[in-house]
This record gives sequence, C-alpha cells and structure tokens, in this order.
Amino acid sequence: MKPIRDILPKWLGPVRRTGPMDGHAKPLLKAAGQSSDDLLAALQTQSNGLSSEEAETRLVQYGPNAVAKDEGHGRSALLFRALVNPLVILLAVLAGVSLLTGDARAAVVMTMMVILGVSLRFVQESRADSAAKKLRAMIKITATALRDGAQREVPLAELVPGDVITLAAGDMIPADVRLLAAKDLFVIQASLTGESMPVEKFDAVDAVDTQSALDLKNVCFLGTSVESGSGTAVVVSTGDKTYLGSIARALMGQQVQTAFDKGVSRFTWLMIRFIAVMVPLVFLINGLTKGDWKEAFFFALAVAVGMTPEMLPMIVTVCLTRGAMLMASKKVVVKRLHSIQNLGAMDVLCTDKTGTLTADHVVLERHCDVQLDEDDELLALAYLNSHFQTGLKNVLDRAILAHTEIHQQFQVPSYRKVDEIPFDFSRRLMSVVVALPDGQHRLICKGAPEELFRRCPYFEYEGERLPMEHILLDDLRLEYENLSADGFRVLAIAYRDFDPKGTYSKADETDLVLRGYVAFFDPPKESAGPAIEALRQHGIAIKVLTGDNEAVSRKVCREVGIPTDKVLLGAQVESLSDTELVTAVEDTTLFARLSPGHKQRVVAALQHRGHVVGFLGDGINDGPALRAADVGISVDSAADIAKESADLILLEKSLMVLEEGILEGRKVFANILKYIRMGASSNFGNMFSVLGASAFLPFMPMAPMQILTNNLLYDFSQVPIPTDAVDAEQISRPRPWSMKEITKFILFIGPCSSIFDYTTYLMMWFIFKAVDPSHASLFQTGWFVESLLTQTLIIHVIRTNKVPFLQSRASWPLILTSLSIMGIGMWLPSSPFASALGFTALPPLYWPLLVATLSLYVVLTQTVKMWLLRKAWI
Amino acid sequence: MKICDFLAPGDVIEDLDAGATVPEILGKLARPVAATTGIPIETLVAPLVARERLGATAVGDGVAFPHGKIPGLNELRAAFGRSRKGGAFGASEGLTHFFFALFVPESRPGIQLHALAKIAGLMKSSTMRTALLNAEGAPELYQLLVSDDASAGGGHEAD
Repeated sequence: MKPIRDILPKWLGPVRRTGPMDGHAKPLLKAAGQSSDDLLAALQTQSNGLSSEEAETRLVQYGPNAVAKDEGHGRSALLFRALVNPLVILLAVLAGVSLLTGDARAAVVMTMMVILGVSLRFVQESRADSAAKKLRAMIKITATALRDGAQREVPLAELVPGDVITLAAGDMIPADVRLLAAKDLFVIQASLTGESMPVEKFDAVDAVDTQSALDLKNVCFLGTSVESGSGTAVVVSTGDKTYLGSIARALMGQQVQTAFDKGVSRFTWLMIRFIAVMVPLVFLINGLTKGDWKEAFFFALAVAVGMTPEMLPMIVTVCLTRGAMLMASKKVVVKRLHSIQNLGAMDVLCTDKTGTLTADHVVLERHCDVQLDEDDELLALAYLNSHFQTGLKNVLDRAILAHTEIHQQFQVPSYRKVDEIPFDFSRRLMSVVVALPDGQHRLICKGAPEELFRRCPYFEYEGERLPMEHILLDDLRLEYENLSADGFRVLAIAYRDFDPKGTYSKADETDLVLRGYVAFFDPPKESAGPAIEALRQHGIAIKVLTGDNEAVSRKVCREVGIPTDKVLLGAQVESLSDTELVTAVEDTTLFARLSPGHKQRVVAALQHRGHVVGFLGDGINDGPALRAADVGISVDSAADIAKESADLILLEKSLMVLEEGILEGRKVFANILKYIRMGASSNFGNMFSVLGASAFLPFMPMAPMQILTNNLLYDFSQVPIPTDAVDAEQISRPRPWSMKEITKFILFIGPCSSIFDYTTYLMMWFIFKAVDPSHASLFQTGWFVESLLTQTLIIHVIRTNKVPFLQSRASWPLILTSLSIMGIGMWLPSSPFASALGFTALPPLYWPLLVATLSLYVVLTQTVKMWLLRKAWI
Repeated sequence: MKICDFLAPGDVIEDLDAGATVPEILGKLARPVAATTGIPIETLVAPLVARERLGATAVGDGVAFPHGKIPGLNELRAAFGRSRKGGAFGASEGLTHFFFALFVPESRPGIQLHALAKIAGLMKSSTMRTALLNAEGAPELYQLLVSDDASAGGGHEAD
C-alpha cells in the first residue's frame, strides 16, 4: 500500500517526516512525554471522559473532527468547477470576441449556450452533492467515547480534544490520540508510513527524544486502524490539526482518473484540435472566395461554436449523478461518482465467501468432544470463552452465545473473569481466563484447530487426560477434518488449569489440554446461486477470495454454482512470483487460506492481465484489496476500515443488489457514449459540409446567426439524453472505454450526414435555383432546416444498435424534445423570427423532398451502422 | 485399561515378513483375530489399509500402529508382529520392526483413543523395544507386552 506521502504532488517538495507537517507533531510529542494524569489535566478532562455539555462547547471551539478529503463542496466551489472547463472557456472567449467585434446578437446566443450548459451542470452537481451527503450520512462511522461517564457511540465528526475513547479490533483510530491503557494493542499504520506489519502500541510514557511523532509508541493517528487488542485513549488533536489533516489538504483532488475519464478528456482535446485546424481554414476559404473578410470571420466563429461539444461535461455529470441516485434507490451507495464508470467496465468480481455467498446466520451445529460425540460441558467452555470476550464478537461467538440455556445450566454468572488474551490474525486463537468455584484459574482457549493441536500435549476423553501421541494427533486431525469436509467451520477448544496469578499472556497458551470442537454451519444464501448466474450472464467472472479453509470454501462454491477445478491456496500464492501469479489467476476460481496481502496480490495480478477488477469485502483484512481494486465494494455493516476503503457501499449484503448496481452503471456509460458518438459523427460530418460549401458557393453557406441558432436548438434536443432508456443488449457485457470505436464512428458515420448535406446543396442549387447571393437566404434556410432535422433525427438511429423506432424506442422526454425541436426548426422560416434570423419561407416542393432526404439519411446511417456492427468494429 | 484385555497370546507373531506389501502385512496380522472372531480377513484388513492411505501409522522408532474401525466386531482386538529385519511400511525414514495393529469395534469408536494412547505409551520405551527385539518366541513377546498391566491404568512415560 502506498503511503500518502508517496503520492503527494512533486511540487510540494521532498517530504521529510518533519517539516510542513510540524504543526501536528508538537502537541503529540508533548502528550507522549507526559504522564497520563498530567496529560488529562492539561486537556482539562478526566479518565471517565467529558460531559456532553463540555463536548458540545469544545465542538464549537475546535470545529468538527473532519478532514478535508471527501467532504462536500461549497456552492461557489461547485460553480467554479462548472465554469472552469476548456469547452466553457472556449465558448466564453468566442462570445467575448463576438461582442468586441460588434455582433451582439451572436454574443447573446453564445452566452445563452454557456449558461445552459453551466447551469445544468451546476444544478445537477449540487443535487448530487446533497444527495451524496445524505447517502454518506447513511453510512455512519462512529467512535466509542465516554460521555457523561458512560460509553456512547459518537459520530466521528463530533469528537473533540479531551474525549476519552475506547479502541477495539477493526476500529479506525478516530483522531490523533494518546493511549491511557493498552492491552496487546496492534495498529496498522500502513496508510501513513507504508509499513504493512502491525505495530504494537503501549500506554507507558514515551519521552524518547525524537522529532517524528510517527515513532511514538503511545500515540495513534487518525486514518490508521486497530488490527487486534484493545485500549483506551484520550483525544489530543482532531480534524485539520491531525497528521492526516495536515497532509489531506494537499491531497484534495488527487483522485486517480479512470480510463473513462481519460478517454473523455482525449475526445474533448481531439475536438478542440479539429476546431483549431478547421476554423482558420474556413475563415481563409470564405474570405478568399467571397472577399468579405468580416463575414468570413463571424462565420468562422460560429462554426467554431457549432463544433464545440459544450454539452459534454454536463451530460457526463448528469448521467453520473442520475446513475448514482438510481443506484441509491437500488441500495447501492456510490461514494466516489467516477467509480460508476469502472463498475460498468468491470469484468471480474472478486468476492469473499463469508456473509456474501453464505447467509449471515451462522448456526452452531455441533459441539463435541474429540471423538465427535456430543458434549455439553464442551459447549459450556466455549460459552465462557465467548461470553467474557470484549471487542469484536464475530458471528461464531454470537452463534455460541445463542445457546442461552448454558447460562443457567452451568451457572455462568458464578464464574469470574480474570483475564483475556485477545484474538490476533497471526496466532488465530482467543483465550479467556476464569476463576473456578474452587479458586483455581482456568484458561479456556478457542481457535483454529491446527494452531491448537500444536499447543496441546494432552487431550481429554471421557474424563481422562491422555497424552497426545503422534499417532493420536493424526487420528484427531482426521476426525476434525471429517467435520470440515462436511462444510462445517470448526473451532477447537482447549484449556489449562493454573494456580491463581495476576495476569496472563500468550506465553500461557501452551501445555493445553484439547477438549473438543464446536462446528458451525454457514449455509449459502439462497440468493447467492441465482445472483452468480445473473452476473455470469452479464459477462462478469466470479472469483472467490477467502481466508477460510479449503474444504469449507469448496463446499460453498459447489453449492452456489462456482466451479472448483482450479483452486489456489495462500501458501501457493506465496510461493508464486508476480509473473507466475498473473498466469495462474486467469483460470483459478477459488482462492482459499488467503492472507490480506495475498488478496491484494491476486487483485493486482488480475489487473495486470487487463481485467477491470471489482473486490467485495467487509472484513478488517480486506482494506488493502479494496483499495487496490478498480471498484472497491463494501457493505454498511462492515468494519470501519473496509467502509473507508471502498468506492461503493451496498446497503444490503447481496450479490443481487450489486448486480443491479452494475447494470445501472452500464446504462450510465451507454448514455454518455450516445452523446459522444453523436458528437463524433455529426460534428465531423458538418466539417466536410462546411468546407465544401465554403469553397464552392458564391455566398456564405449559412449566416453566423443561423449556425448559432441551429446549435442552440440542437443542444436542447440533447438535454434529455441522460433520461434515455438503454437497450438490454447494450448492458449485457462489460463496457470498457474504446477510442477505436469512436474513431470508426467518425470515419464511417460522419460522412453519411455530409452526403445528404451535399444532396441538399445540389437540391437547393438546381431545383430551387438558389444560385446567387440574392437567393442566399433561401439556400441557407434550406440547409438550416435539413441540418437541424437530420441531426435531431439521427439521435434515434445512433442511440441503439437495433432498428430505431421499430425495435428500440427512446425515452419519452427524448422523443418529445426531438419532435418539438424538429417542429420549431420547420416553423422558424415562416415565423415572426424569420427575417431577424435571415430566413426565407420555403417553397412547398421542399417539404416532400426533405422527407425523402431524411428517410434516405436514416436508411443509409442504419445500413452503415449494421455493417460496422457485423464487422464488430463498434 | 489393560493390554491383556484386548491382546491374547495367540495374537502375537514372532517373525513377521516386513518386506511384503502393506495389505499382506496387515493380512498376516489379522489372521489370528479372524480365526477367533470368525470375521473374514478382508473385512478386517480393508479399514486398516484405508487408514494407512490417509496417513502412515509408522510413528518412528521403528513402530507402527495400523488401526481401523471394523464392522461386525463386538470388542476391541489387537495383534502384534515383530520383524527383526524390518521393512519400510510407509515410514518417512528408518525401518519398522514392530507392528501393533488395533481392530476397533465400529459401535465403540471412542475406545480407539484409549487403546492407542496405551500402546503408544508402551512402545515409547526404548528398553521395551530392545527387549522385544531380543525376545525369543511369541510367549516371551507376549509376557513383555502385558508386563505393565500389573500396575494397571495410565500410560507408560517415555524414558
């Protein structure tokens, strides 16, 4: 995982561990060197926390505990973003030039276009922003703080200096804090330092002479997370004053661009380059052939405006935000708008097993001794272990604790808890020490059977303690493996009796007596199988990445329809080099026994093969893979760190929900592509037409005002594109951005419109005898109407790969708008505005000829389109 | 639990051909038990062969404990074979000289753990192994094997 300082922009200068970040360091260094009491006094707080009133006062005084990244933007910031855009600026410049050269009307029309595009975008982005805020509020990240002496879940943003908080495995550290108490506390600081191994933290005073706060052993930072253990801490700095806060300001806007973003950007610049070439050319040609340089100038200006795809940013934003809101209604919350594009292009989904493929309801199916005979006393031991455990109680503990009858039957309240050794991922055990009624202490250890076998030189059977001979170890393992092969998740229980002593540590987890097993069944969800099939039919391959053991994983995969002929285990992934892994991951469908690092490597290997990879995970150990994937997907009920690392949050942990989200994402992409295709073909088509007309006509092919009006009307006709329906077959496969497709459109469909522009010219020239400057207006009107109508009509041909109108119809807003614009276009030449715009009423013969032209145009474009489809070029 | 409870003098084989195949060795060990229980040798041998496939029962120090659950068997039975020459018998290294086979009744699988613990503890002792190697005749072997029964119960710790 890249530490933040490695992705800072270079112009910020070399980042030393001190320097610009000093601001955060001093209070932490001071806090670290003080004793707990002195620190508490200095922060004016007590060990049992602040009162709610005091907290509220401090919240006003210090401001919210929020770091700049990911927050919503102010209105002015949104407006700024909508305005600062090459296309808008180009238009504004052109409008300015028009104004300065005296063509006020043109300037007005151009300004109207700018306003149309900008305001639509601004309105959409504001709505999206407040919707996003509401959505984010649905995903709460809270911290456990002591308020008014009691533990309360407090939203992250409401923490203040002086708050006393408790930390448990899976929690994000909610601010820069100094530890008051720490028990086997291990913290992952990878996001700040790049260290992938967890670091142990202590509560003792750390007066080490160091400049760097990151080296302090009793201080934890906002943005890091607790891997295992527990602790209590007092908040020293919040919000912008934290280490993360001091860096975050520099990181605002450092989002990685998706392939789509880059593609759209390339297209925009391609258009701008064409304009830069075309416009001077048009200007020269017209000036040279007609001699009227002033007119040529305005004409060239209008052509520039006509060719600028000024609606593109608006359409992209509107499509994305609409998509995000639709997805939210389908229970998929989009945290990063631009991840929708990756979602649409995703062709491999890496999912975890537990909770996604399997039901969230884990049942304790068997509790037995080493010979797999049912044993209630064993259940009691397991119960005590789960009961007295603090921190993260996972589904297995909950399943054990569901046996409330044990509480009575074995008089659980009569046992007193003495100590606890929390779970950690390296040893995979969890122990609790209780005082027995006779005064002896009993350490009850629960965890992965292989780990326990290693620490048990004895086992108990039928009340007798027997030595764990090698031969027995094999037999016991076979029994346990029988359980696993049946699809059970098995934990072993062992114990050891001690003479009473004060505290216990991991060193005491040896010389244990193996007592038995608890077996859990994690049945697959009913919806998992159909969801996987649906995903597969939509072109998404599923790969299961789990830390669980092979037998259980295989069984679950079989039940939900995932083939298990090629399986890789964590140890095998470990032994493969990166290049070998890239080859191996292609056919492998199940990866079991993976560590967090392995998951990340698998994701990276798949990406190396050119796949767009989504990763679905909810555990603490899924953080790295979530960040590495093109689309990180998590759930609302996930561990804090998983939610933070994800791009998408499912409000319901269901593959069906995700599948619907993916289809919405593809629709978004498809609609944006419509606009780009139309822009690509019609703009380039117009280019040829204008060039030819300029060269051969003795007058201006169209008056500048007419071009601008044409463009404005056309813009309006495209506004409903984000609402358009998308053919099912267009979203049946993953859709990555393809510049080649766009190029094909430009090359083949572009000329189609040009052809009919030329036929119209010939029509106006020969049939209507508009051959000299006195009839210029007639010619221009004829071309104006034909141009507008063809452009508006062709939307309907290009929006689908099937036969337009008959096989696939646009959304009603789009149809109605098209009809209205076409109607207006036909009405204008005989309207009161006609003379202002320089139109002449068109003769009756024109209309049937126009209909013929339009029909032929539609037919030709459709044919060319089908040809391109058959050659699979689009 | 006493060894004489499940091992009879007739169940001891003084000279076992350890160079034979695994099923053949197991077949020889099963013969005395087959004779006294009437259960066919194949029925006795098959579960033991299956267990060997899951994991070698040769535990080192030249000892192997083939065992398995036998359908139709009512009580725990055992057989002991010694081979001075020794054979591979699936051990990772060294030769196996002592074969202590256990035939466990299917209806009482738990008894296997006790019995295995007992005989494993017995064979841990290097003194015992040397004595067994030097003993002449099946009766002497038998006497050595049940010699610990007098102090009854518990496993014999290694020395």
